[in-house]
Amino acid sequence: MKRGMVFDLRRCIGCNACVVACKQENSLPDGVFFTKTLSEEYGVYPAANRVYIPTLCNHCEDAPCEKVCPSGATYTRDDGIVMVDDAKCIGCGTCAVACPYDQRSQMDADNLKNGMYGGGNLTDFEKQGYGRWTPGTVTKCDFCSQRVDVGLEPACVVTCPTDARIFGDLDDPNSAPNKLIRERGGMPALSDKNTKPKVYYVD
Amino acid sequence: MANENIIVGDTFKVGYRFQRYWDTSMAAAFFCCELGAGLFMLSQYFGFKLGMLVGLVFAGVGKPYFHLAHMGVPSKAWRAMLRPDRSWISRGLIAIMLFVGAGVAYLLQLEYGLLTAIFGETLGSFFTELARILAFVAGVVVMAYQGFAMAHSSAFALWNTGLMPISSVAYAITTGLAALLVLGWDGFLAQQPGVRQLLVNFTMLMLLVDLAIIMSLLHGAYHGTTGGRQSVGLLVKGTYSQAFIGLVMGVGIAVPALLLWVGGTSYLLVVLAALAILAGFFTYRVLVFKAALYEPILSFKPRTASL
Amino acid sequence: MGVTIDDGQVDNNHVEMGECGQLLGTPHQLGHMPEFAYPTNEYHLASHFPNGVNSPHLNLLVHLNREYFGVEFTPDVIVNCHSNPVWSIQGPREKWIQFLKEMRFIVCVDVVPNEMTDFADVILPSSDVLETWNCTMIEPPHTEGQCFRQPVTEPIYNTKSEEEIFYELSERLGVLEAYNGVINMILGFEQKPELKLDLDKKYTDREIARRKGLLWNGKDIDWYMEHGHSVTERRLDKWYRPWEGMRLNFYIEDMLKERDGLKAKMEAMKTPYIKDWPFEDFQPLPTARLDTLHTLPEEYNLYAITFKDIQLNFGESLSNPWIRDIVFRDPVHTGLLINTATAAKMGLAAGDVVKVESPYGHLYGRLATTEGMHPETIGVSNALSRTKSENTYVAMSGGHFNDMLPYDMANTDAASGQPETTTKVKLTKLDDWPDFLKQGGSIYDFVQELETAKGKGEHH
Repeated sequence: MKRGMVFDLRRCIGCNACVVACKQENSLPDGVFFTKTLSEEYGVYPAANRVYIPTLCNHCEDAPCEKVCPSGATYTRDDGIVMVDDAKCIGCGTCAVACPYDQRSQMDADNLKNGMYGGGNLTDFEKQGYGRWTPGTVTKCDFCSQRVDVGLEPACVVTCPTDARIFGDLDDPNSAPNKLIRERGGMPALSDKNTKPKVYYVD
Repeated sequence: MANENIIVGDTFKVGYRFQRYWDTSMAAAFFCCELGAGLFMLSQYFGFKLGMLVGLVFAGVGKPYFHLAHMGVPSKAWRAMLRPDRSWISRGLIAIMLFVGAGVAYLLQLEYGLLTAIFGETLGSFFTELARILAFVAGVVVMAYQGFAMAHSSAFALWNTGLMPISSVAYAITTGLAALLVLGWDGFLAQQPGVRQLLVNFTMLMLLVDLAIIMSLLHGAYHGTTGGRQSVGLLVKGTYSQAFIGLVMGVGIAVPALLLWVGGTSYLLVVLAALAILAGFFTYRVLVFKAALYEPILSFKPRTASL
Repeated sequence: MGVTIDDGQVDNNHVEMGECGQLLGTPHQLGHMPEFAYPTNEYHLASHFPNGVNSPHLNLLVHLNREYFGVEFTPDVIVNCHSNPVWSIQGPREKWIQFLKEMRFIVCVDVVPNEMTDFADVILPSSDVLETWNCTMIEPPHTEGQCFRQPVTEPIYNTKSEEEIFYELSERLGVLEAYNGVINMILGFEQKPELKLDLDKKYTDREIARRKGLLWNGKDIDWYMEHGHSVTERRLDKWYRPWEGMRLNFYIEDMLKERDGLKAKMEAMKTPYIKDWPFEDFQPLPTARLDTLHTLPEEYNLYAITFKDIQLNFGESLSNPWIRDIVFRDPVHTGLLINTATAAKMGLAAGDVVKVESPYGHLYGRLATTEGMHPETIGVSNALSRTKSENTYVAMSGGHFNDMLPYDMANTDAASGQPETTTKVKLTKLDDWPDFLKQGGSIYDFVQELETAKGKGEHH
C-alpha cells in the first residue's frame, strides 16, 4: 500500500478550510501549518487569473528528510506515510533543510507556552492538544495517521468543500487518485528533486 | 511563468522562501568545527601542542556548545549519533568524538607521556600512533562532514553541490593556517623562518583556492536552479551583498592576501590577516545559510492559469 | 409536507390576479410596517419606505438631523443582540461612536467581544452555536424544511442561551406575554395551536427548537437529534406561480401607488421634508439613471469596493486565532488592491502608504498591486477594515471602508431604502503612516512581519 494524495487545481478555490481543519485536528500553534494553500497570479488584466495550489508533505518514497535524520525520528510506515517520532526528534533541523518542499515546521517553545491568545493563557483545547508536541522538535503532516488508522480520511480531505483533495492508495490502479493521475496527467511538484513524492497535481 | 517570482516571506504566495533552521548559532558551530579541525591537523603535523589544544577546544567545546544551542531538544542530542548508516550528522558526531578523544589522548601523550605511563613503552607507542592516526583520519572527516551534510540537501542549489565539502576542507585549512601562524609565530615558527614563510605562502595560496571555490559555488548555483540564481543575487547584489562582498571577499580574502603579500614577515600584519580571514570565514558560513532559498512549489505552469 | 414559518404567509406569497388578469403586488415581505407619522416614531424610518427594508444607516441620518425629521424623542437605551453596528454601519464611525456615547444605557448580548461591546454598560454573554439548540428553516426557493442544531457541549463559560436571556429580560420588564406573542407569530406556532407558547411561561432554546421541529413534520426532538434535518422540495402552493394564467406586468403601477400613498400621508401630516423626498425613485418601468457615484468630482478617480473571502464573516472572525493565522498570509488581504498598470500610471507602487479619500470619509492603507483588479477600482478587503477596539487580539487597520460611504438621502433609494454601498475615491501617497498607526500592532505591521519573515525555525 502506498498512501498518496492528488490535488485538483481546477477545483481548489483557496478557501483555506483545509488549513484550519488541519490546525484544529492536529492542535497546531500559531504560525505552524502542516498544509497551506498558496496562490499565484498569472497574466495581465483582463486576461489575468489566480491559481490556488494546496501543499503539504509529499510523503516521498525517497524521502530526503528520512535519509538525513540522525536520530531515526523520521521513518516511513508500511503504508507509505512518512512519520516523525516526536520522542526521538532532537530538533536539529537537518530534515527541514533537506526537504525541497519546505514542509517541515519546528514547534516553538514560546508559542506552545504562550498559546494562541498570548500571555500563557492556554484555552482548554490547547491544553489538551499541545501535549502532543515537544517544544523544539521539527515535524510535519502525517496524513492524519490517527484518522487513517481507524479508516477515516485526513481532516483536510474531508473538509474540502470542492473535493479538490483526493486521498487513496497509489498502489491500487483503480483508486480515485490513480484514476485522476492517469486521466488528467498528474504531476508531482519539483520532480527534478528526485524524491518520488506521493502527492500529485492535476489541472 | 507566474507574474513575479519573488521572496515571499511567510505568506501564502508561491515564491521563494528563506530557510532559517540553520542560522547564526549553527554557523558558529560549523565555524568552530572547521577551524578547530584545520588547526589541529596542521598543528599535529608540526607537533605544535598549543595549536592542537586550541584546535581541540574549538572543535570539542565550541562546536558542541553552539550546536547544542541550535538544537531544539538538546537533552536528546546523544541521539544524533544513531544513524551513521545514512546521516552525515551522525557520522560527523561520531567523527568528532573520535577526533577529540584521540586528539586529547595524543596531546596528553605529547605533553605528559600519559599513554606510555599507562600502557608501557611498546603498547604506549602503539596507542600513541593509533591516537595520532585516528585523530588525523577523524579530523579529515570532521573537516569535511559539515559540507557533505549541506551538499546532501537538494532543497537549495547553493548547498547542493560537491563543492560544499571541498569548501569546508579548504576553509578549514585556510583558517587553520591563519590560527597556526598567529599561535606559533613566536614559538616553533620563530626557529624556522623558512617554514614560516612557507606557511604564509600556503595561506595566500589557500585564499586563492577559497576564492576559486566560492566563485565556482556561485556559478553552479546561478546556473543550477532559479532558486540558486536568487540566492546568488542576494549575495552579490541584494540584501547580503554588502556583507558578502565586503566581508567575505574583501576582508576575508583580498585584504589578508594583500597583508600577507606585503607584510608576511610582520607579526602584526599576520595577526590582522588572520583576524580578517576568520571574520571572512565566519561571515561566509552565516551568509551561505541565510541566502539559501526554497524553490517555488510548482515547476510547471498549471493549465488552469490560462482558463 | 408540514408547516413552516412562511406557511402563515402562503396567502401573501400566493400571487393574486388583478381585474385585468395581471399579477398583483404582494404585501411587504417583512409583514406589517409601522404607520407613517410626522414627527417620525422610529429612527430607522421604516414607515417612510413602504416597499423597502429598513436600513441601519438611516438611524445615523436621523440622529444627526433630528430637527429636520422632527424627532421628538431621544433614544437613550440600546439593547443590542449579536450585531456590530460600530463596525458595519456605513458613514463615519466617529459620529456613530458619538451617538453611542450619548446613550444612557447600552446592553449587549454577544458571543465575542467586538467594537460594539466596547460600549456596553452591561454585557450579557450568550452561549454560542456549539452550546445551544435551534431549528432553522431552510431558505427557499427550491427546498424547505428544518435544519436542526444540537449542542456538542454544555456551555463552557458563564453564558446563557439567547432565549434564556431574552425571556429573563422580558419577564423583568413585564413584557413576557407580548414577547411570547411575537414568538408565536414569527415562528408560525399560531398555525398549530397545540404548539403555541403559553404567554406567561419562559421556554428554553431546546423547547423552542423542539416545537419548531414538530411544527414542520410532527417529529419530536429525538428524531431530529438523530436525523439532523428534514428537508423537502418546496410546496408548489408557495411558489411564485405566473403559470396559473396570470399576465406579467410590464408597467409596475404598484410602484406609483406606493409613491402616491406615501406622498398623501406626508401631505396629510404636513411633513416639511416632502419637498426633498426623492419620489422620482418610484418608477413603474426600469429607468436608467446615472448613479450619484458618477456625479462626484473628477478628482475622485477610482471606484472603491470592499470584499470578503469565505473565511471571513462581517464582523468577528478575525478574533479567531486560526482565521487570523491564515487571512493575512493571503495576498488579497495584505494590502489595498490596485491594478498594477493603474498604480504605475499614478506613480504608485506596491508597498506605498496611501490615504484613500471619498467625499464622505477616508482611510489609510498600504497598496498591493495585482492584475486581478479592474484598472479603475481599488479593493479594500473586509479584513483590512478594522478600527481600534478593546479586543486587543483584533488589530486595527488604517480605518474602515464604510467610513467612506454616504449615508444621506441623496444616496439612498427611496423605493428600497437601501444606500449606495460603493463610492469613488482619490489616493494620496504618504511618506509615512499617520501617528495613530505608528505605534505598532496594526494589521499592516503584522502583514509586514509575514512578508519580510526570513523563514521558519527558531531564532538562533
